[in-house]
Amino acid sequence: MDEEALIAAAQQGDTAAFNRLVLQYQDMAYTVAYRIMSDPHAAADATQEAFISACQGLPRFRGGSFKAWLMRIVTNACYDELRRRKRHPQSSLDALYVEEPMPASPLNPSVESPEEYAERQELSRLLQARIALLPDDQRVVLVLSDVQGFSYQEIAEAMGVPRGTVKSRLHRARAKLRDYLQDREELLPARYRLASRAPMQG
Amino acid sequence: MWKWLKRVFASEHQWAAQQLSAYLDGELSPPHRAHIEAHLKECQTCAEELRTLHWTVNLTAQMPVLKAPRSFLVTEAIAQPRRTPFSVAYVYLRSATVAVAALLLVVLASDFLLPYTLPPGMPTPQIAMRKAVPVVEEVQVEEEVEKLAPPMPPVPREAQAAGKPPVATPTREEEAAKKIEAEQVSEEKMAQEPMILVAPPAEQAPDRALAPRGGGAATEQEIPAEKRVVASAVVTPTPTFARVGPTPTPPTHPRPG
Repeated sequence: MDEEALIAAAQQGDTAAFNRLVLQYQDMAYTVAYRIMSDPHAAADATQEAFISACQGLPRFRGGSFKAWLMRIVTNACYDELRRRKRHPQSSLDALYVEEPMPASPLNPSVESPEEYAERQELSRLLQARIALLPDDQRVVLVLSDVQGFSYQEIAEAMGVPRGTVKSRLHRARAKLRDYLQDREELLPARYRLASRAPMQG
Repeated sequence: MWKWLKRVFASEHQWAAQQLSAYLDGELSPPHRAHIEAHLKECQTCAEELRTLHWTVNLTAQMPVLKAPRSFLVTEAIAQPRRTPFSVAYVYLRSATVAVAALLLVVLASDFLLPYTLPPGMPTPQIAMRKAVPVVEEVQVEEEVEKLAPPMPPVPREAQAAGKPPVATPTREEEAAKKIEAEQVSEEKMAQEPMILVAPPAEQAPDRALAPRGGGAATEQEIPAEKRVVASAVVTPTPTFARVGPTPTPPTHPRPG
């Protein structure tokens, strides 16, 4: 059963069909939530809340990109959670160091060695630390575009903003992240450093 | 249009630098893309910026998709929209709300539809509003009220206090000035011919009598305060200084000496 049929069945109240959609998108939804919130537990809560809202609001889905519609619900859930945390800040020893959750795709030895896998994990932690400092709007755009690979149109639909806004926010976010990485280039593994990369042609 | 204006007024380099990110993603229109490519051949700064941006995007793309720590499947109970429990109190509260809203609507409708009447003796809203005007504008208000309302005769304060009807004398300033002159003449005559009663003018109040000779000096000092004539008993707290005659004295006032 393809995605459209699953959506149609879920709109008629078929919970099993909706849960198949959940299984298909839950890793992506959780990744977006974690990259936005930088907290595994808060990301899990926001993801669960988003799927419940999506299930209850599915009759109002009028077609288009289901992925963008779902990610919009996820980002809104993250915004709500961030606002709630700003109103009720909480600090604990657990928040001092948050370990990166496991990637969805396990290590494939034929693609990369264990050392390369560890370097990529370290790079991911370094990037996540800077992404967490971006303004909320820029952070969401950067995650959807460069982490999840969304097009500008999908991001515009997911965030409810014009494409021009997506373009400008993404450019500012990338420029900040670029400056941060250039200042700490010596911390990066050798294969990720800018000096080791050939200049781009075209 | 706005984008076109921005392109016109922004420098070529600034505009190109802002488009590099979209150029990387292939989100530019063909004319803009060609424009950027032509600029990149001439501008080493933009070419270097494009290179670092490309490096950043590639590094960010290395971030893995994370595995969900648990399943987020929903149950049948959760899938159903949440409904508030039905209760008897809810029905009563809703009925009370409807009743109060209907009553409020009736009150408002009657207020708008029924004719507006004032109880007898109450000042009209126009006069009442004019009473609220500050003191510094009361002279102007008096003039306006005189134009709107028929002229009211000046009433001496003693007459008002005694509850007597106002004297039917006009309140024109010319007539008041003439009366003042006449009073001054009569006072001079009184000074020359003491102890002689002088009849008041025909248009004056009939109960007015001359002040006694002996008390003339004391009465002279009280005259300005007592001879003030209030133009309107309702509107003007500030008196109009118009002398209309000597100090009204009851006829039964005993003569000194």
